[in-house]
Amino acid sequence: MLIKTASLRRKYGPVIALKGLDLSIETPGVYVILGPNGAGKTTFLKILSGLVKPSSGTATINGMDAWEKHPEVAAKMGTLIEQPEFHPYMTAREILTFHARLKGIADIEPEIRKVSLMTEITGYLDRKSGGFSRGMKQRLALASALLNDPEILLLDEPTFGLDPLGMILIRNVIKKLNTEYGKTVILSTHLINEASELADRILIFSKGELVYDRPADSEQKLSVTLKGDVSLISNLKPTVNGNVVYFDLAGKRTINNILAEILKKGLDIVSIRVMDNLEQIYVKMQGGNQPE
Amino acid sequence: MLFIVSLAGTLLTYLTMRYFLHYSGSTIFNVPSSLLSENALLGYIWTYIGSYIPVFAAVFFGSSAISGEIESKSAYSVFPLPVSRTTLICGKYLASLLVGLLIVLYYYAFFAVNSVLVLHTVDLQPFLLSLGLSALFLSAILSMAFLVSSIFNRATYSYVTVFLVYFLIFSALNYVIQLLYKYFPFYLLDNTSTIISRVFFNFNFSNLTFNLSINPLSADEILLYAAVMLAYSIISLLIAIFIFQEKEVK
Repeated sequence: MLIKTASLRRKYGPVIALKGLDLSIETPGVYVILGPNGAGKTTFLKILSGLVKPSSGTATINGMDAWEKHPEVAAKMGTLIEQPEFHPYMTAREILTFHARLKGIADIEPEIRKVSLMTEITGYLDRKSGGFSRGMKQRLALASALLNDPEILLLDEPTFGLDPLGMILIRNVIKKLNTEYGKTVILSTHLINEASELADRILIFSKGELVYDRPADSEQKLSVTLKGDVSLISNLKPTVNGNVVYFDLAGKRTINNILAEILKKGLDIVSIRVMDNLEQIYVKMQGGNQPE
Repeated sequence: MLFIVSLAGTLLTYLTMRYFLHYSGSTIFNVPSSLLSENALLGYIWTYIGSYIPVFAAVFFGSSAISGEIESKSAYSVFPLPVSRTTLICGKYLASLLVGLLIVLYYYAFFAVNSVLVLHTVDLQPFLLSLGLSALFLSAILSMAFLVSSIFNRATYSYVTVFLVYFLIFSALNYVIQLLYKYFPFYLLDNTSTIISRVFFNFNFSNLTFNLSINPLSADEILLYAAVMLAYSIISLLIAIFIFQEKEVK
């Protein structure tokens, strides 16, 4: 068990930021938390990173309480919470060295080289962080989070303030961390396309509650434009709209299976498209109508 | 901070050279000048001014130690690191204390040079005693600044609170207690700090009931005042540690 929360609640005065959250994360992967401002995403990540104490309930990481056993828990964790600032008179290298020392890393220089290459800040290592743009600070924060090869990464809106190239870089780093190094990444974002691109599992928060928790591919649909009699494939139970048919991709149903079945029935395929249904689900989960 | 100390040192050096060398008055603080040693007088003036340096050093380095980290958001990158809060605050305290001590030493070096230039000697025993008590006072006021800093989330509030407590609340309490109870509350930190200069010349501006004496302080009195400063250091720091351990970064 990597992360488990039970009846996790957090109040800020009269405002309830988390309303009894029950969640368990047992296998490595990329877990994306979606939700609007005030949904409780950042509070959840702050509790896990030992910045905020739960009002009631528990949050454990590898069986240890996130607040009570903070130093032990944090030893295997890297965090990027809110938009962190750094001591402006220190260079990026000095900041990383300072953080590496606090993380108990013995051989600091190679570790700094590794994380700065991953986040592409090598050319900025000897510049003072006071002159960094928002995007550079995000990269530096990610580099710091990656120090000491953490098992779990908590990233709060890691692409916030980045230019498109910076976003692509950070997303590629996150994908690589999961696919090549088997890390667990829990990240929050406002961006639905980012969630679709990165997530193995999607968690949607609304008003302090977890309202949606499914594998990322469970809501994908396959849209196929056909030439011929679409009733021939009625056994596949598609949603039909003229010559366009839609198939849910949940469960064991794969694109290959569906296309093979269509071709077997002698129908011509004009075009295919994989559609992500996440946007509609997100709007529905927030209890609102999709904006025009 | 170093600039302020340099400025104070330079100004005092000028005044010492300009006036102290040629002083020929018959009384000082109503004491016949013939009864006062020049060493004691020079030491008193320098250390009286110097006793404010730990206050400014503590406010400068201690007040923003915790609250400044939260206000500037650097807490988001430092506090989640795998280090206990006790280690963090103690590390910051020791670093601030070390820098503060260097500044106090720098000022006392100015004083020593002036003493040698003007009087061709340094009265070593009160000089070292005053230096040691300054260090102790620095640790006490620094602990207090850390305590205040651990309460607030904004550095400005901490700066203002430490100044208010030291210069306003302690002073007000001092005079109210003296006027009402005819008793000198030596345990208020601003009163305790008078010991830094009184090791040279036992005169206390803050004590309304004070009978002026040109005799040096007794060892017992010095130990008592030192113990009070030590108590401030330990108790304030322990409370600061306790508060910081429970502190959230919302």
